[in-house]
Amino acid sequence: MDLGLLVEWIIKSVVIMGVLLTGFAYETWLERKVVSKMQFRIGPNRAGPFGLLLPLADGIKLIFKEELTPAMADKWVFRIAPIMSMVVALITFAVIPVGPSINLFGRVIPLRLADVNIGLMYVLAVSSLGIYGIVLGGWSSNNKYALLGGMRSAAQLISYELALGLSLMGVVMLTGSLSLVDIVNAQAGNFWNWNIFLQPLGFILYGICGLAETNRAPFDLPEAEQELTAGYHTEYSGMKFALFFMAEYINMVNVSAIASTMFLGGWRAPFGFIPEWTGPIWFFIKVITFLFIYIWLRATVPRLRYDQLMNFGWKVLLPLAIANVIVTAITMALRQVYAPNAVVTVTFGSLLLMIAAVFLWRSWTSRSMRRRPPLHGTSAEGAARTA
Amino acid sequence: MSHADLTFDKLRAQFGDGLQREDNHGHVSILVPTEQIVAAAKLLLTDPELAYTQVVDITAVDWWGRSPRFEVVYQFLSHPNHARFSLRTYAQGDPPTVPSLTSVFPGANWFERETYDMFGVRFEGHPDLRRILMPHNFNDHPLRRDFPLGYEEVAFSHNAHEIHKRKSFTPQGLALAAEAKQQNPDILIGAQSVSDPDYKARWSQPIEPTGGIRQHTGVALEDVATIGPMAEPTPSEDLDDPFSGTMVMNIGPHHPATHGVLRLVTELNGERIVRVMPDIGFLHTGIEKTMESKSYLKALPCTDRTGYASPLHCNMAFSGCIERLLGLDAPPKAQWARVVLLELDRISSHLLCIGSASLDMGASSPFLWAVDDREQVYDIMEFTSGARMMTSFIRPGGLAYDLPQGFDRVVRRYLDYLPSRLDMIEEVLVGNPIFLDRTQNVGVLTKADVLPYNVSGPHARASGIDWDLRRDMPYLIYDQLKFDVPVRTTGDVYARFMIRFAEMRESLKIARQALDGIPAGRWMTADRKVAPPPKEEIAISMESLIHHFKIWTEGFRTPPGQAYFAIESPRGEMGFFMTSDGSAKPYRCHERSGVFASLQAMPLVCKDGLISDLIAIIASWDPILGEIDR
Repeated sequence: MDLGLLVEWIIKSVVIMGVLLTGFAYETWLERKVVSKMQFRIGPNRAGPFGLLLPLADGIKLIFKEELTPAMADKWVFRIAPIMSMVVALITFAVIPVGPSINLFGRVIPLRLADVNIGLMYVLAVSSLGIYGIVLGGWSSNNKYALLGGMRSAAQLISYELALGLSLMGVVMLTGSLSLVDIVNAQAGNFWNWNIFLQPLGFILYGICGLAETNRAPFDLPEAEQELTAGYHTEYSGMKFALFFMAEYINMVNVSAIASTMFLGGWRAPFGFIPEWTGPIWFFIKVITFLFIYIWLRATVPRLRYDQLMNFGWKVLLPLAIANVIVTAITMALRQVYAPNAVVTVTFGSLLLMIAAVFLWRSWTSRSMRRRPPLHGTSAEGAARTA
Repeated sequence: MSHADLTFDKLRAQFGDGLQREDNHGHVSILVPTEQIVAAAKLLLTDPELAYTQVVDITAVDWWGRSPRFEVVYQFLSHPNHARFSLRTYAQGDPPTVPSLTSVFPGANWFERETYDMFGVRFEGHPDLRRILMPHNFNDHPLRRDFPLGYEEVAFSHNAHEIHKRKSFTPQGLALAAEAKQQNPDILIGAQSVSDPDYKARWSQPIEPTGGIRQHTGVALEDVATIGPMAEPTPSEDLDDPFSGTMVMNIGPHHPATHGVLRLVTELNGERIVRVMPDIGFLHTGIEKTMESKSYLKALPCTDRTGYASPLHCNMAFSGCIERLLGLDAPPKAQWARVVLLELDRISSHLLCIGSASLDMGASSPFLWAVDDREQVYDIMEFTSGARMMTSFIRPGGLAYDLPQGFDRVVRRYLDYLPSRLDMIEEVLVGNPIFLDRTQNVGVLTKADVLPYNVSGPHARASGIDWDLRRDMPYLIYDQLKFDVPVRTTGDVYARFMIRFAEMRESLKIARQALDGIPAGRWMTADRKVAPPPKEEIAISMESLIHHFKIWTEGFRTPPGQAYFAIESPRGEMGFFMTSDGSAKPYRCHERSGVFASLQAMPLVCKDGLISDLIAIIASWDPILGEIDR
């Protein structure tokens, strides 16, 4: 085996982990700053200029905090759970291309750790594993709040993972490859080649499911602070808690990176004439845009209720994702038969679906407004008692 | 003939001429024989002409040294007739007992529990007579006059002996007291004589664990007893339901969503709520006892500390009650200024409620916006009174000081500023389908439940009860102002939110009118027996100096009698019941807070919701634990 390749891999792995871990820290800083602006506050401004050293201070604090383990907790599972979350969050990034190949020291170095030909499948598989950390952490704490948080997390994952996978399938079908490198290359050229224009519905579905996948507002039910105090990580403290925290934020980066790769041309610049070496910059901009939207949502939107979340996942997102796949398939078949302009066809089909989505959403919300779970309701009972 | 006369006649026709009537500046009360109290209450409720729809307050007065010792006082309110009436009765026997009113007025439940807890008066027929504010293992009834006040010195090694000697109710103190008793058999130690064998027995017992919630297997609440008749427990062993195993979870007292230290014992089926039992008292500070040991003016700051989200309303209810005892009216300037301040206070309280509720539902920005706006009310309060929160600005007889120069400008600026902010907060919340889903049809309190369960204020108006004390039984100068009383019919969390938004807008209207109308003149009554004389007079007038000295040392005296005065606080009817024995201290001072009463109805609406619903319901209930636990 080529020793140089091994060194290259190791260096790349270290760089990815370093970037993700620092990125996570400054993501928290960014979140605090952005949210504070939206709330007419100043936000972090004490540690360093613009509070830039606050993540460092946070890290030092968390490392030196005492770690408590509940007496009745399942000790080993309790210890393993956060590690599991963290590891899974870190390894997802391995297959994501952040730029073109560059020449360095006489070697052609592609700006990605690995080009796996089932890259997307790897991403989906690995990101689903992250939920084990949460469920096991919630269960092993031997705390009712944590248990409920873990349960919610599991239910949420099952409801959203299907739609998440299906929403990406349209892109896979169009590209004909599961490799993320191929998917990015298929979107080369100007920005109208990006998949977002071929798969607008898929993009929106992925955005929503990605939120749910990372347990971010408004889908932060597993850790709903006001309901379950802290949800699955109620009993975690110190660095163990920090690992969960990191995993969540790194997952945000992952989801943003995958969304950029799948729908926004990955590291590709919006116009073909821009030199390729600017790739990482464009990639960074795209990821930051997604992160900003996530933060924006968190500052604005109230949290869904558990049953509403499930309803939304199963009754709205999943049918739409399936429909998206079917329409994509049909238009692709039509393209083979009649060879019309494929872009127009697919876009047309997706637009139709978007309209359908709006209607479905509206009918779903109005229905759930009128209808409450038809249990032994208090209103009827109250009326009967005083009648 | 006033409605009180009519009521008196009807009661006399039913129960004989022996009833004694007592008038105190419009507050009419009647002494009813103990065994007839339920019948009398029933008459008040059921007689179509009387229609006393709510028993708004129940408490007791301990006439220590007299026999019978405990006088139980009931306050009735007739919504159709806009009238109040009070019944009194003596608790007979040992332990002192009166029949319970819960069969007639379910909302009497918590008030009777409180009276039992504080005075040891037993209510026969009460479904759930447990302590409510004090811990389960507490051994005495603290509002009895013979219960010692204080004894909270910290024992260090150098003075422990002395302190234990004074604390006759601790085990160490008991031993010391017994020693002293041996030397001098006639000695009385503390408030209680150690010869009381019962007393000794109680303290020598090991304190049992509260035993409330056992291991959660199946039904586990029976130790804590049932919630009472108001929320009949659904049979947990539902044979059709394979998942009938339930889990008991404590939400609170320390929990982000309980707005303080409210503890909710919830029985859950998955995430669905089978039962909720509110457990209160974690913030109980015995503030009524404290007030009873202080002169009226010095008791006033205690009221700020109870309803800390709307301190001026507490000041107002307290001062109003004393003014009623004194038969005194505040001067016009004070009255108009009070209205401005009260409405600002209401706005600040409602902003807190809405903000924290949106935070509880996961929307953090509206919370900070609301708190930002609320901060400016505090700024106005600071400008006016020097204190931001605990202003104690409304005093018996008027205001603490004159309004500062520029008050008008400052308030007007705020009144101009707030509407757009309210629109912004409302838009972010109400324009969001998730928020609508979370609130609409959640926690529905039906109109039929409102009055029986003693719900008042915004909660009642959200359920379709068109009742506002400011309009229907006006105090201060509210009858001279034009404003609407927003009412909604659905009674869900959403309605309770919308009511508060609407009320804030009405408050802006009221405050503007009142601000326009503030007349010139005195801010404090001219009665020198109540109001301290102006500073500049003290240097030149001997009488003023004497008055100043008397008022600040001894306090002013009120004529003997009883009074109940209630206002529309942001959380329903807030009233003070006071009994005066003619001294400078309230003999009995009871705070009736709206949310203490209406919290009883909360288990009713939580049933079959999810945990998230419960959180939304608590938030919409706006529980201020200082007011609840006092």
